[in-house]
Parts: sequence; C-alpha cells; structure tokens
Amino acid sequence: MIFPWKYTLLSLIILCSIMVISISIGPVYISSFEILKIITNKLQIIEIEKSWPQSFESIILNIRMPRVFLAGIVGLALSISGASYQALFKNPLADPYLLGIASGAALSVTIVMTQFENSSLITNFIPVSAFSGAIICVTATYYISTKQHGSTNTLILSGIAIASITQACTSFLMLYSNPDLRPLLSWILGGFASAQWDQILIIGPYILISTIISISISKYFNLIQLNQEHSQQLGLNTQKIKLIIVINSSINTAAAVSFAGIIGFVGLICPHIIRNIFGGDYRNIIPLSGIFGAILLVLSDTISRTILNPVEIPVGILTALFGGPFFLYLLAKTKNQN
Amino acid sequence: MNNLLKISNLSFKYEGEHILKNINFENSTGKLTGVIGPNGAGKSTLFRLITGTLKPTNGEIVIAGQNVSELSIKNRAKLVSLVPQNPEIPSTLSVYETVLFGRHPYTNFLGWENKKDLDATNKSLKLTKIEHLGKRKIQTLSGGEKQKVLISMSVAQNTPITLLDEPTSNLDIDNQILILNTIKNLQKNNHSFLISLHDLNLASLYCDELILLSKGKIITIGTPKSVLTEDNIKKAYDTEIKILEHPVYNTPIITPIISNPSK
Amino acid sequence: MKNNLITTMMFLIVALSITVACNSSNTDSNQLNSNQNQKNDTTKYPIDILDSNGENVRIYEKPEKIIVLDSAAVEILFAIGQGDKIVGTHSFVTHPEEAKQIPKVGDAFSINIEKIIEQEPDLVYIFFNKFAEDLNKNQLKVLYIKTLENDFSNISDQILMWGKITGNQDSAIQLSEKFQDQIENIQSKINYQSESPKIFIDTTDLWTSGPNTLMGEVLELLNLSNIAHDISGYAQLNPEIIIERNPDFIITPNPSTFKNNPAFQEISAVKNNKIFTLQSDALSVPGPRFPEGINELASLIYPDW
Repeated sequence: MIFPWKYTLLSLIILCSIMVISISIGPVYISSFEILKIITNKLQIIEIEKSWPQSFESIILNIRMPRVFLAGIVGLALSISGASYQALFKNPLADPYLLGIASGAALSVTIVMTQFENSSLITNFIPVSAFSGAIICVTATYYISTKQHGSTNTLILSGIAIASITQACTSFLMLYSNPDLRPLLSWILGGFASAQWDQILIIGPYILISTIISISISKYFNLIQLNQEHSQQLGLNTQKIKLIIVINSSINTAAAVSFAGIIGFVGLICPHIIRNIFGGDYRNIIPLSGIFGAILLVLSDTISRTILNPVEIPVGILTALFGGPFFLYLLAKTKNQN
Repeated sequence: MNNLLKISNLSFKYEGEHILKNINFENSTGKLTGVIGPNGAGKSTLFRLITGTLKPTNGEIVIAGQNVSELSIKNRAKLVSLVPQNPEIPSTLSVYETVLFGRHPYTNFLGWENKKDLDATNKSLKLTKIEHLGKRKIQTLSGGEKQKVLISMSVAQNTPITLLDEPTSNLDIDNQILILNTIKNLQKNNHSFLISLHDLNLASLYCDELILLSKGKIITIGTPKSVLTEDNIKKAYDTEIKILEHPVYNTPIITPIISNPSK
Repeated sequence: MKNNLITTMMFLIVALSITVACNSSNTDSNQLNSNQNQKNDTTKYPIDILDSNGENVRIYEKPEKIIVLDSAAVEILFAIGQGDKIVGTHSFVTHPEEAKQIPKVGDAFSINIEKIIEQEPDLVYIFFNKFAEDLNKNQLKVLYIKTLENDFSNISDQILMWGKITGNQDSAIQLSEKFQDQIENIQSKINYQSESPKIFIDTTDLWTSGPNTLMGEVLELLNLSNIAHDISGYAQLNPEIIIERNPDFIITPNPSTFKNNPAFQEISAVKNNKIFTLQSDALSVPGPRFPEGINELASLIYPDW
C-alpha cells in the first residue's frame, strides 16, 4: 500500500502549530506563558499555583480551544467530503453543496426555526434537523438518479433539482413566516462563535469514523475514475462503492454543517490545491486535503474573530471572500500551463 | 481440446428485440480470436455478456469451467480482463500506478496491494516492454503508449482470457502494428485474447480464428482464409469485395470494389 | 448556489435590521412643529411633508384610504383613532389586534403592486425607497420616510406628522405629550449618579446593538452600561469579550445560550441568574408602545421599578 506518511506527518505538525498559535491569539490578551500554565493545570500534569483570573481559564479552555478544534474538524470534514464528491463525479468542481446536502440541511433548520416557538428547544434541535435534512436530500438525489441507471450526470442534475426545490422552500418559509429570522441567518452564514466541547463530542465521532472510512477506501476513489465498465472488470462493484461514498460523505458534510452552518469553498479549494501539488492519486488527496482543510478553517476562524475586534465576522463570508479570488487565480494558472 | 471459453445457445434481448441470437462457440487457450462484423452486429453486446456486465436472456457463458453469470464481480475479474475502447485514466497518475490497478481483484477488501502484486506489476510492465515508462504520468504518453499501458494492466490482472475492444481504432498504422505485435508477443506466452477489430485486413493478418457476426447471429467461424470470402463479406456487410492474397503470409486481403465504376 | 445564498443572506440581514430594529420614520426636518401649539383639529389642506429624499410631498386633501407598510406607523394611526383609514399593511404587523384583519399587501422584501392598486389608496407610506418608483409609476401618492435608526424622541414628531396628515392633530398632540411624559417619567426614576450596571443585549447568537442604535439609547436612558460600547450598528460580539467585560445583566431570547455554555459560567449575570427575556416586542417597534418596552426592560433590572 501507498500512504503519504511523510507529507501527512509534516502537514499534521503544521496543523498543530497553527492550532497552538490560534489558541494564543484573541481579542482578550493572555500571555503564552499563562496559557501554558492554564492548560498544564487543567491536564493536572503538575500542580501549579493559580495566579490567573478565572475568566482567562474560561476563555482559553471553553472558548478558544473548543473553537479551534471545532473549526479544525469541520474543515477536515468539508475538505474530505469535497474531495470524495470530486472523485465520485470525476469533476474537480464538485463540492459538498452539489448534491443538495447543504440546502437540505438549511431547509430543515429553517422549518424548525420558523415553525416552533420554543427557542431553547430550537437551539438544541438545530444539529439534529440539519443532519436529517442533509440525509433526506442526499437519499432523494441518489434514489432519483439510480432510477436512471445512476450515471454521474443524472446524479448531478438531480442534485441540482433537489437543491433548487429545497432552496425555494427555504426562501418561501423565510419570507412568509413571522418569527425573528436572525438565528437562522446566523446559522446559514456559518461560524464558530458559539463553539462548545459538547458540539465536538456530538459531531466528532461521525467525522472521525467517516474520515477513517474515506482514507481506507481512497484506493477505490482512484478506480472509479476509470470508465465504469473498465473498473467493474477490475472487480470493483461500482454501484456499491458509489453508494458507500455518497452516504459516507453526506454524513461527514451533515456533521460539519450541523453546528458550524454553511461554510463554502473549503470543500472545493483544498482538494484542488492538493491535487495541483501532489497529483491525482486519491490516496494522497484524501488525507492531505483533509488536514489542509483543517488548517484553512482554523486560520479563517482566527482571522474572523480577531480582525474586527471586538466584532465577529461570519467565517463563511471570509472563506468565500478569500476563497473565490484564490480559486480564480488557480483556474487562470492551470489554463496557462496547458 | 482444452475448453477455455464455451458459449452455448447464447441470446440477448433488449426491449423485446434480439441483439444476439443463439450464439454457440468454443475457444481454447493461447489463441488470438478476432470478432468482426459491421456496426450493430452485436460485437459490443457479446463482449459485455462475456465480461458479465450484461446478463444473458438465454444460454450460458463458461470460462475455465465457471459460469460467468454465477460469479461475483471480483471473481469474474479473475477470469476476464478488458481493454475498453474508450478508457478514462486519471491523467495525473503514473504508468506504474495505473498498471497496478490490474492487481485489484487480488487485493484485500480495502484494495491495498502487497509485495506479490508489485512483483506481478513489474513483470507485466516487462512483458509489454514499457518498464522505462513506469514513472511517467499518463498525460505525457502518446496514444500507442497509453494503449500499451492498458494492455499491461490487463496482463497484470492475470486472467485466462483478455477482451480487447477495438484496441487499434484511434491509432496510426505504426502504432496499430506496435499494439498488435505486443498482443501477438503475449500470445506466445500462452495468453488468450478475444479481439474486436474493424480493420478486416489486420484481423486477417493477426488472428488465428475469426468470428463473423451480423445482425446478432454468427455467419461463420473459422480461419481467416475460410471466413474472409467474397460471399461471407457480401452476406455480413452487403458490400462487393475482391479477395487477394498477402504477398508474404498468404493470408486473405480484402479490397473493395467501387459499385459505380466511373474510373 | 452558495453565492446566491450569501447575497440573499446579506440582503435579508440588511432588511431585517431595518424591520426588527426600527420601523419608523425620521421627521427631523418636517416643518410640523409650527403647528404644535395650536389647538387645531382640522388641518388646512394642501399640506407639504418633507420626505427622506428631501422632496416635498404635497397632500391635497384628507386621505381616507392609506396603505402603511410600516409597523410603527400602523400603531400610531390606531393610537390616534385613525386605524380605520388603513386599507393595507405588511405581513409583519402584529399590533394592535385589529391590525391583523387589514389586508396584507407586502412584506419587508416585496410589495404586491396589484393588491395596492386594487385598494385605490390616497396615500402609500413606505420606509424603504426601493418601491417608490414602481408606486409612482402607477399614479399613487407615495410618502417615503427612511427608517429611524436612532434618536427615539423622533417618535413623537412622527406622531404629530400623522396627526397633520389625517387631520387629527388634537389626538396626535395628546399622544405625543403622553409619549414625552412617559419618557420623562422614566428619566425621573433613574439615579444617573449611581454606578451603571453592565448589560449585554443578545438578539441571538451574540448579535447585539451598539450605542448608536435605538436599543443603545434605551440603555443610556436607563443608566445601563452597554458592554458592546465600541461597535457600530449591529454586530456579533466575540464571546471572549463578553466574558472579559463581565455583564451584570443579560437580555436574550435564548437564556440557554448562556446558562448551558460552560464558557459563560463565570459571568456575573450567569452566576447571579440575571438572564432575562423580554416578553413583548414593544422595543422593536418605535411607536407609541416604545415607552412600555423601556419600562419592561427597566423592571427586569431595577427590582423596585
């Protein structure tokens, strides 16, 4: 087997250092030495006399750390599912939003927010509803397309159709329901301002399992690049493997969007950059673009919470703002090379 | 006679219409068998039935004693390999990685290869004489080299029989000869091939045996000399031709006759 | 797809901060005050009202059918006894109860021109310039007055303006005086020398109002110190800042945001259980009920209000 141990380790080291830097940056200044003391104390490695205000401990342990970790795993999940969809559709422009996943999640969150009065219930219900909305839409997309022999084009087309329908429903509900729409808007714009350890515990296992699955089956991502008859003749059950990829990536995406909202471009850009650097072997692309996605989102979130101090910018706006031009630059560059 | 491929009473219907009707045919190891016939004769359908992509309406296909339609996808892949007419290979993969795909039927459920697979890959690169290309990316290869990579992949797959679907169709004459020589060379190592060809003269020159299909039926099976007659071609293609003899190999050569002789 | 979404969202945010925060009109420059002290029940038409484009809108006679695409204006008209003149509103109008029966001819984002024409209104009042042209094209009399972003004392000017337009100045003057009395009454109860309690107003997900907003002014009136003193308009405050500035009170529609988040447990509002939710929407509509909203907020903060 071929697994890019060297690059994976290197990029993991980069990721870790960026996370450490990110934890030490914030609108409230806390010195690195104090951060070190707080964390050491928390881990109970050695007894340290408590010389810092309680609020510092809250900020480091319950705001910045869950935030950085949540941004990391969401970046990982979005990027890996982006790469998976690109493999599945044999199209480098595919991303987790193509199958109507994000719009499905958005619709069901909208339904919950506009149709239920109890606001605390809503807060707790958002992830579950995002998750179920995403899964329902992907199932619908996949079911419709398999009725047409499951070709890639029908999959994309039915994804677009499902996305349009759900988006229309979302817009309708937003325009014609009375309740305050700000929580919904805030969710759709995406962000990690209210990140908590609990959220990581809820979505972490899904992302972990589906990441492990994606890496283990990354060989198959290469095989499905061949034409279907050919890969079948190499002994690949293409229908089955495509179904596994769709389900696995949708779980990954749904988990990512359930708390963080809709964050665009990460799933598109990260695999693209990795492909440019390391070539088309998905055994490289899957793990490396996952780590790169984590790096990108941790960085973006750090910028979004510090640049307009004390105000937050939704991180989705930031990724789109920087991701868009960067992507255009990449497109122009690849064209020149050809 | 050692029966490698045995097709009996094979029929295939699609939307009520017979695409193939009552095909019977046997083949033994080490042969290069050509499937010829006009477009729509059922060549592709026959190939898809043999690979197991399509299920026969009637009859059965037995390869090395095993009924193809009763096998799992993975076990079929150990019996039949395919060089498709329109392959799609990720352009950024290397030749070695691509040929390694051929080992997939023998890998574990995650598809990861072991030492044995790497050895088999090296061996098939050597057999197809492309060891020197191993590290090159697919996008840097010529059409002929790409076709060789695909053949090498099928060699790595180590199946009793390989199907080649129009392997020369997009190539110039030099590369056509190169590919067919490669195949002929492999045949000497006891590989068996079923090849579909448009070019009857190439089929005549290279194949040991020809199957002439028309409108879903076998018109005749036999040596190139017995199959490529003026009558048979008239029956299958509805075209007037004359047969000449190859000056070196004595195989039949087909020359068309212009039906409106203004010359 | 995503880009569309973002564009829509940005638009919705802008539109919402307008509707939710303050549906009112800026009558700073209205030449109304000259009439203020004349006890005069009938307006001498024609009258000129200066709109937010700086142009005079001449109203020739007393309007009998008015379309009001603004929650605050609807409340004012009902409060001065002219609610029966309203023949159309937008779908976010919730108060008073009778207003719910009035046909809805639009919302914050769109209007239904056909429905508006069908009502044959004498006057269409809008807070959003986008529709003015369409309405003008259809020979409708349009009064466009921009959303009130701050300075809630302008509410009383708006009350007087409606009194003048509908020829009902006595009730308008009474209502405006009542409004000013209520505000003065609130001011008189506050000891501005005492230390201001720190407060965080969470609209949702830590989005909050800065000092130059209606809410910011209300906090100032109540001698409360807004912890979001250094933002402009509406923005999402960084949670670290909330912990650092340690508010004594939190007003939020979702108390669980703070109660259930371990990060906020050291905030004194959380420790002392001073997290409240406003029950009425009075503070989000700068109309005659606005003082009630201020009182509601005050009673949550000051125990013997």
